[in-house]
Amino acid sequence: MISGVDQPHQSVSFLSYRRFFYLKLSSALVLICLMAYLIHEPIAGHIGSTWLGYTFGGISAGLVLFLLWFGIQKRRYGQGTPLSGWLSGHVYLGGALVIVATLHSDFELGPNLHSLTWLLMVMTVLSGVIGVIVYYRYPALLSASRRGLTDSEILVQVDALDRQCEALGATLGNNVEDALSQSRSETSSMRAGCHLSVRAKDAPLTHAARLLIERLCDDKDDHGRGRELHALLVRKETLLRDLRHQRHLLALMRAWLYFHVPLSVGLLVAMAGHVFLVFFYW
Amino acid sequence: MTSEFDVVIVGSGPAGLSAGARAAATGMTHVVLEAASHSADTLVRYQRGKFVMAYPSTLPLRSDLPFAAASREEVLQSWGDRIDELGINMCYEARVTGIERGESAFVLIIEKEQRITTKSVVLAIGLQGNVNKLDLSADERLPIQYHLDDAAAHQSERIVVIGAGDSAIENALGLVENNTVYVANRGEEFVSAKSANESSIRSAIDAGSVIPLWNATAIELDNGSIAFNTPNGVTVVDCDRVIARLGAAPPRRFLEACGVEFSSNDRNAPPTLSARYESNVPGLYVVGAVAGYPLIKQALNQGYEVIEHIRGHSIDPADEALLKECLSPLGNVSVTEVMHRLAEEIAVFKGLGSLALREVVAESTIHVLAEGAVVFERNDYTNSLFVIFEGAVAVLIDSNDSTRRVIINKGNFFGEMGLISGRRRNATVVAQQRCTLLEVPRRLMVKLCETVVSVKAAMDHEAVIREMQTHIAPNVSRETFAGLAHDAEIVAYPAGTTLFRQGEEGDALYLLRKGSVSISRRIGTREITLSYARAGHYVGEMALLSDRPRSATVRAAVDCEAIRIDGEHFKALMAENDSARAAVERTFRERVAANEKMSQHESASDVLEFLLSQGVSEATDILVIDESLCTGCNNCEAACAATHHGIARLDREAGPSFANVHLPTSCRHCEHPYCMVDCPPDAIKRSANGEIYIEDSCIGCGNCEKNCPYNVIQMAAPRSRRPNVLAWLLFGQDRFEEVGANVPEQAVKCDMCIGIDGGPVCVRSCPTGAAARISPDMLINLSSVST
Repeated sequence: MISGVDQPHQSVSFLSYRRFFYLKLSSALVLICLMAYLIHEPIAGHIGSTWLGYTFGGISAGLVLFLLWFGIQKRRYGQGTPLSGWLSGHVYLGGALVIVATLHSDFELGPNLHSLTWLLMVMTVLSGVIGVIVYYRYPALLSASRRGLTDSEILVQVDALDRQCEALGATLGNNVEDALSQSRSETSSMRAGCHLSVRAKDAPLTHAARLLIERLCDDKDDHGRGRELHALLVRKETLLRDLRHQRHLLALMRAWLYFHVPLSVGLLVAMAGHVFLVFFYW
Repeated sequence: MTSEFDVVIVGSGPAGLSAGARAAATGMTHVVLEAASHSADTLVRYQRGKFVMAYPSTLPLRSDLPFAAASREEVLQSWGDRIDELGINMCYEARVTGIERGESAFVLIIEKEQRITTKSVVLAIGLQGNVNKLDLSADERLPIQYHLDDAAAHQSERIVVIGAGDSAIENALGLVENNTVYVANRGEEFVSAKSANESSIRSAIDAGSVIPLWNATAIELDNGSIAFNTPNGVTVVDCDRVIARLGAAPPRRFLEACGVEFSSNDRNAPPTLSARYESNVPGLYVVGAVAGYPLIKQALNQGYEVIEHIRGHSIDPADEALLKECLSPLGNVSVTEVMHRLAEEIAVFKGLGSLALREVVAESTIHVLAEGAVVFERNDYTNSLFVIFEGAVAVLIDSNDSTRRVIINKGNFFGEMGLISGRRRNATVVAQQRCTLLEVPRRLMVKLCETVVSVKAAMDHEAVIREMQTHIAPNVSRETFAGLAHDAEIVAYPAGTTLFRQGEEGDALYLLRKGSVSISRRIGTREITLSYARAGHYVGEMALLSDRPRSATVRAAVDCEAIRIDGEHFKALMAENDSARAAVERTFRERVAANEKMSQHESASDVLEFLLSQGVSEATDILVIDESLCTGCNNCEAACAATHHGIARLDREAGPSFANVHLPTSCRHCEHPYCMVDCPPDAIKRSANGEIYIEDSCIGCGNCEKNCPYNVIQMAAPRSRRPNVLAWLLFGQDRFEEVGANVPEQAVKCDMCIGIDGGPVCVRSCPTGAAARISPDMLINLSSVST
């Protein structure tokens, strides 16, 4: 370790960054806001336009800007504190935002821009919660299913299996060759593969080829070759399944961001409108 | 050809040509004899377009030949022109087979039984020696060549490469892309090849791109084919070309036959020469690589100087001014006098020749320090060696108590432990009184230890005593260990070899001075890795203290060196000295407890074994990713690229994994960096903080890329940033583009973000906290946490 540099000596999850510093900070913020809300008795009955309401609104707007800044900070490589600290703050203060902003709304919701802003905020935070759950659970699952092999290493193995299958299948008739060529197309589609294959989990064509060989093994004389081919296809099917499973997990790990980011941009626009309306047209 | 010359120069490399040029310029009768059909054969054999460096850059050039860093072709052209201009008397294809010394002159015997008489002889025959040739009668249709000029010039040919050394392998691999290549080897191994070359040729053979002919001896050329004797009978290969790389007869034998004496029996030892390059045979001079000076500029200077000496002119060596400059901190002193004193008073330099010593001084730094000044601090990562020319220094052996100091006096050296172990300084050293120190850089010291036996012996003699005292019992006097050190031996253990096995009788203690070892125990049917020990620690004390058989097996995790101390001697020391016994017993107790804990924790032991098997113990700082936290977002790579000219120095996905520990492909900043071993411009450096980085003087030769066993170095040209806000927002990455077509590639690797505030950007840019940089001291920690 380079002396004098503040770097973690081992991996520390963003959730427990600096011994849950941001969790503590957010809890304190929420607690103070709740107490103020309970103690405070607004004259007009609407909290929004009281000094406390403006304070909650100000805090909420500040939090939204802070949370959005994460998108910028993530790209400001090498500047400022470790990004895991920022993410820790992003997660816990995002949770606090829901409560503070709701207190700001005083639970008054209706078909207007103000409530739309609140709704977008809640949806953004909810998609973020899904993100946290996904980030918390899936890396370990992915690591376990990889068993030390990377995506490209698995593809190299599958390629090798394809070549062996082709050589063995050449003598086993047109049916087999067709089935193997179908199975190979599955390999190519994996290689060209969209990494966001959320749905595909199996390797149906390879599966079909395997079943065909299984049937032929019983009918034909050349059992030796058929069995060998069958074993290769079993291996290939397992590898393809593993690969699809990994890509599936990876896709899920990314998918929530496709909601979270547009929602947060929507929230920013709605919030700007909300502030504009409040100050200029109220 | 006239039969009597003032001087005959043998060899037309840089030294020989330069001598010839000086002789021609001064009007001496001379001839330059060259075995090949052209001059500067070594340079001619460089691959086409190779950039020739002009090192040492500080050394001024003094020659009638021009020379500056340029391409091979430009250098050869300028020398060729100069040969014509000066009218150097060249005689090609004249191989000297013997030199006889008459009453007042030498007689040189040339292959074709020609004899030449001369007053003086300058041997500038280089290190290449006489190239061994195939003993076969020629075949008109089949060209045989003994070097490969340009692999790209051969297309769609069938080529047989004969030989099992590096040059044969490199030629074969260079040709393989566009030709059918056979490699004929007299055995089945590539014994004399570098391991990187061996593994490359083996994989080419396995992949079927090179066709091997094992146990094959060439017997005949006939009508476009070559026949080999093999264990299965005669094999005939039809081919278009034969390239034979059969090595060369070493020049030492020839020099010895001429009566020249050498400084030692060491294979690489240079001949004993006077400051005028004259050997023990009066009138016979030796210059250039064979005299121990492989650099072109040195050789050119020596060629000039040797002729001046023969002419009876006393001239200062070309580096005189340079040395004067180096010695300027000492005031106005005579270079000769300082050199003389260094040779006399500094034990570690005693076996060095005067020319080698000049080189040491030229490359070293002189420090004049006032009393109390700090030479280096504990935990600094410098690994140069210091020699005390005047005064004395104090080693502060206790970081908390500055009154506990060991004094080292004039004539001695210090700092060798960092040099040997490749680890941080383990003590602070201050000037005890006003002192003058010579700081010798690591690279030079490593070279001296490898080539001059006496330097290594002198250094080891003292180092062993100090290592024992420091690492076994610092409170025990030096004299106590001096006796023990006398009988101890330094043993090298290549990676994977066993120091001792569980169940064996304990007959010795092993103090590790370099590398690290794994400690494992068979429990039930499994071998459990309990721990590991690094340089500065000892193993084997358990059996000696308890008088029981070895309780564990100890293997070298990486290449190691250990001081083996005889068990009986060690026991005697323990019996006599309570303080030493207490220190060793404390280690013993701690180790028993730690081993017991680990043996209960099998999964942690598996992780530790994985880390050791990946060579992590020779790293000083390694990037580790906790896979249970890594979401694969690649922000680490993007951050690295964004802060390093668009080229990421880590490959997150590549690299081995076990349990949740992933070791991405990224520099580990090894204790003994493989990349530094063979860097022609010495561009790879270690900073005081420990980062290994590559300076801009990199010439892009690719040696470091080949030598790194962890594949963390790539060759790349820097790129420039293309600002694109949309891409930045959408993809989170800056776009980069090539700077230009003619920007040369350089070696690129992780420099641990040296110069960037806050430390490594990859770690700081990991959103989930998965990435961490650890030092091997924390391996045990890491294994326990990761399971």
